[in-house]
Amino acid sequence: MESILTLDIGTTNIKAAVVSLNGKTLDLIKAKSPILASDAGSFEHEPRQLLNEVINLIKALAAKHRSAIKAIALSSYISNLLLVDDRGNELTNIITWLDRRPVKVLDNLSKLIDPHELYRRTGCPPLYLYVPPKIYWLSTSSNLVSKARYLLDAKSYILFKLMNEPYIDLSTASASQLLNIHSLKWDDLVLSSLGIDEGKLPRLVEADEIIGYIPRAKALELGLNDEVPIVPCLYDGASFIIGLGGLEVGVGSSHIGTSAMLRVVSDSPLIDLNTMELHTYYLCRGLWIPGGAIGNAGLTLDWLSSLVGREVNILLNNMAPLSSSLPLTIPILTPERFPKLTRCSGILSYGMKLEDRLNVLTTSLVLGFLFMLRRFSDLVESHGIKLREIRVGGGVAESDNVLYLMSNVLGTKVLRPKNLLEGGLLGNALIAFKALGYFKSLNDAFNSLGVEFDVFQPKDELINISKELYIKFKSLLKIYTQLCSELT
Amino acid sequence: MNYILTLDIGTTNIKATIVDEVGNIVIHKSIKNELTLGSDGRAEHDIKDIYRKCLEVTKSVISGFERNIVAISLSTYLHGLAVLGVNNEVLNNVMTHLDLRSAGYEVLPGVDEYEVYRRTGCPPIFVYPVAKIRWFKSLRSHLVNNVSRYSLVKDYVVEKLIGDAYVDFGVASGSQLLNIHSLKWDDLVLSSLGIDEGKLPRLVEGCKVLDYVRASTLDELGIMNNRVALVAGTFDGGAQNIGLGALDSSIATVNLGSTAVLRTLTTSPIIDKSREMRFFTYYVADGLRACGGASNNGCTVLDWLSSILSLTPNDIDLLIKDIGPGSEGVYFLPFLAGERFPFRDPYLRGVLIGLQLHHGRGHIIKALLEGISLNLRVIKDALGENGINFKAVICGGGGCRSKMWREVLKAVLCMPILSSGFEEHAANRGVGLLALKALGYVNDLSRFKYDLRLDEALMPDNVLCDTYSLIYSKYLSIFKDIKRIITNTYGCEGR
Repeated sequence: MESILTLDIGTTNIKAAVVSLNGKTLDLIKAKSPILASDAGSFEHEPRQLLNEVINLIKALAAKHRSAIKAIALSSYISNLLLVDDRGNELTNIITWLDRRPVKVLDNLSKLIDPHELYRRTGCPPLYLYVPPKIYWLSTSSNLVSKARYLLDAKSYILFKLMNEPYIDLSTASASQLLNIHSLKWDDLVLSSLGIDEGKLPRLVEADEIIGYIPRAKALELGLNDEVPIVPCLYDGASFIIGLGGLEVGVGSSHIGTSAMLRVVSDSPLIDLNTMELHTYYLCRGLWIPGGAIGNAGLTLDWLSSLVGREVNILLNNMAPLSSSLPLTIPILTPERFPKLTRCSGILSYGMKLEDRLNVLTTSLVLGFLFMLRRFSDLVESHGIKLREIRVGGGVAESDNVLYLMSNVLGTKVLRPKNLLEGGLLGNALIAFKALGYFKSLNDAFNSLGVEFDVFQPKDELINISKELYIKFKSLLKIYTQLCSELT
Repeated sequence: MNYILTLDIGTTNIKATIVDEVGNIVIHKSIKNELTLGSDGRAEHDIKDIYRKCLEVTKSVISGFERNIVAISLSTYLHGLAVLGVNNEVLNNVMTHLDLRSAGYEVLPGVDEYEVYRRTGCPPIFVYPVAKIRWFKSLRSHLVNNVSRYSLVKDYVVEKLIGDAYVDFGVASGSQLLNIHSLKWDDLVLSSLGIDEGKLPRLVEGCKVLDYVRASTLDELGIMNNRVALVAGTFDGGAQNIGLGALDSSIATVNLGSTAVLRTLTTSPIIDKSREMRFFTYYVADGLRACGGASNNGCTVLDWLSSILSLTPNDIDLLIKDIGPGSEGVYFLPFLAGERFPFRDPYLRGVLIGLQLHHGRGHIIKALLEGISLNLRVIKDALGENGINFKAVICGGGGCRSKMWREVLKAVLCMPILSSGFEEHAANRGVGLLALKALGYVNDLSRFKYDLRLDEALMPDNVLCDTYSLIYSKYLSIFKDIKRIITNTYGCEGR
């Protein structure tokens, strides 16, 4: 049956699968992303090695499914940078979003581009994880930027190596902070402030189009049929949204794993200049996905689990009921991406009583990161978009208890698909099938799968308790913000 | 050789010991004192059962000493209140210091809180019998006319022994009803409560012979000497200081039990000049007063944390031995049980702050031991501001068995932490010593004083003291911020 070879380049793993037209996963393999980290705060991927892993994964799948593979679809993590020269040689490693070295240039960068203006144009708050701080940091510490022929990222680098020309989809580009989120073009002010010529950036394309073909010689080398089309797809989190379906305004998606994200489909870019806490990226075909991500979700559960010596799933199976006497926890073990919180880390738990057992503390922790996520749905709703439902995936979302709590925290029903391939890989495949003309729209593509959902409905009285706690949580967060500047 | 029988009525145990003429404990036994807990916040003792258990535990130590007992001396816990009707009918059983029902009744209407504190040495806290009487009068109003006595427990036992209901100044001073200066029931407090002196036990000095025990009672106890003096003694905490030899303000005691208490003896009542009322002043006996503070959050919180983290007491020192001062940025404000001293707020709760990925169980535990110790430092500093400056601490209670905790305490308080060897049954020994003085075996308690010789090896490290002073100011600043959330967000009642 017609199938797609779908690839997802993640920060820790690269996954590849062959997905057929009826949504079946014919094969799923993965490889480690080669991480280079140092005490100086660097967090890089070695591009050649990454490319080799991708090539090996393609070869392995092509060897078994050559004739079925009708296209290659690709998603990747966001906000990374590598430079290549005019012969395509790598001048740097891939500097990932986790690399903290650019933190120190943020202040100077803000003198170059007004942070509010930067945010207003790009939809990306002024945080170190985005690409402009990386470019600025490199330009002030070396002459590599001026020597570079192209400023790429992991995805455009792979496409460049496969097709000899660099492309990037608008979605991934929108998460770099270099794209104007309104015009969907590289932003002239950002580029000129950084001294970058547009010609050094990859070509912008929509996600669900065939952008070209792997040249014959390359295809043969990979073990693929002649002229396999390439579909650029989206960044990983956006592909995950496609894989959950529901591409209508007001439908939210949330992935809860080690970190967590919450985004809501919108038909215009939403910018919240007051807080600059809303990250707005582009999805495709006139849809945006404002929302945001937190670094501390499953991460905090893993930490609690190692602290108390119980498995995470045992902790999650034994949660306390939602009640107004729960202690409140600001769950920040690693700094968060809220402009006011970037320098804070350290869990704060307030309100512990002698009768509280471990189940209460677990619930308090989960409630804490759900409240952090609620920040994003609040901001979206403050711009007039009503959250209708939320679709979820990821490891922590396998817990029914977490999802019941989530439905009451967000005041909306939560849907979790039964037996579905990891969101990103499936999303890529659906986009590719649509690009190949099998479906008229991405919604049609998703609906053809006949996915069933587990549905978690909120209860009014629990919504009210959660509201009450949320008000307290917000003032605790304020105190926390203040405290962390005093303590550090 | 003659002997003193001592009884110490505590919240969880009733302990009997026999003390010899030179102040040594020759035998000790204890029996569980059952607490009745209820979802309404009650934490009660059955007053009749307390007396039965006193008899029972006495019988377990008396064998061999039946003919040589010359006195009985009593130590009881503070803040207990029972309400009795005619013929000692129990109208309301003993509300212990753990009873929460009187929360909200701690402030006498129309009376300045500080004035009450200045008179009684007791800040406005709901554990005191004043709040309990107000609770009783308000929620058991149909019984008020039947009240013959508001009992502080000690007087009930004394009445069984000699036929008259007396309470010592020490236990009385922990009721907030006693004027700590005149050692009389305080007229202002009594009139605002609307009760008459006649409804309270009679007052007596705890370091003198009050009377001789009734023959019938001696039979019940199995004592075969017909002339046994009764010495009313004092409250358990004050008795501990005496039993440990911490007899003046050069030395304090810290008790790391379920609560964490710091206490030092003075010869006159000291009242906090600050309206924060950060410590109490109670009477002890023989002219001595106890000043200090009892934090609700001692080993109870450590036990709580141990159960959450599945730890045994042996793990604790091992887990924290390599963790530096300040627990690498983790702070634990241990107010899980609300707080009385040095901060007064029943709605305070536990706060854990600063935890990061690299922190483990040891950091949380150490932060907790530091938090409990830092609270004691607040009490120490408050006493210092009022001219009480002790130079060393004798540590008693289960927590002091942890070498690491003693080390933390030594650096936080910046003074030597000592053992006197009498920690195990200090309260019993203390009232035993009072009896020895009352009977004339000694002229002066001072011969039991701890011999304070501070050699170099006992002194804390100055650098570590300075480090902890910085940690202390951060701790206080966090406390202030947290306190603001409670008042701003949780409303003035704190919820």
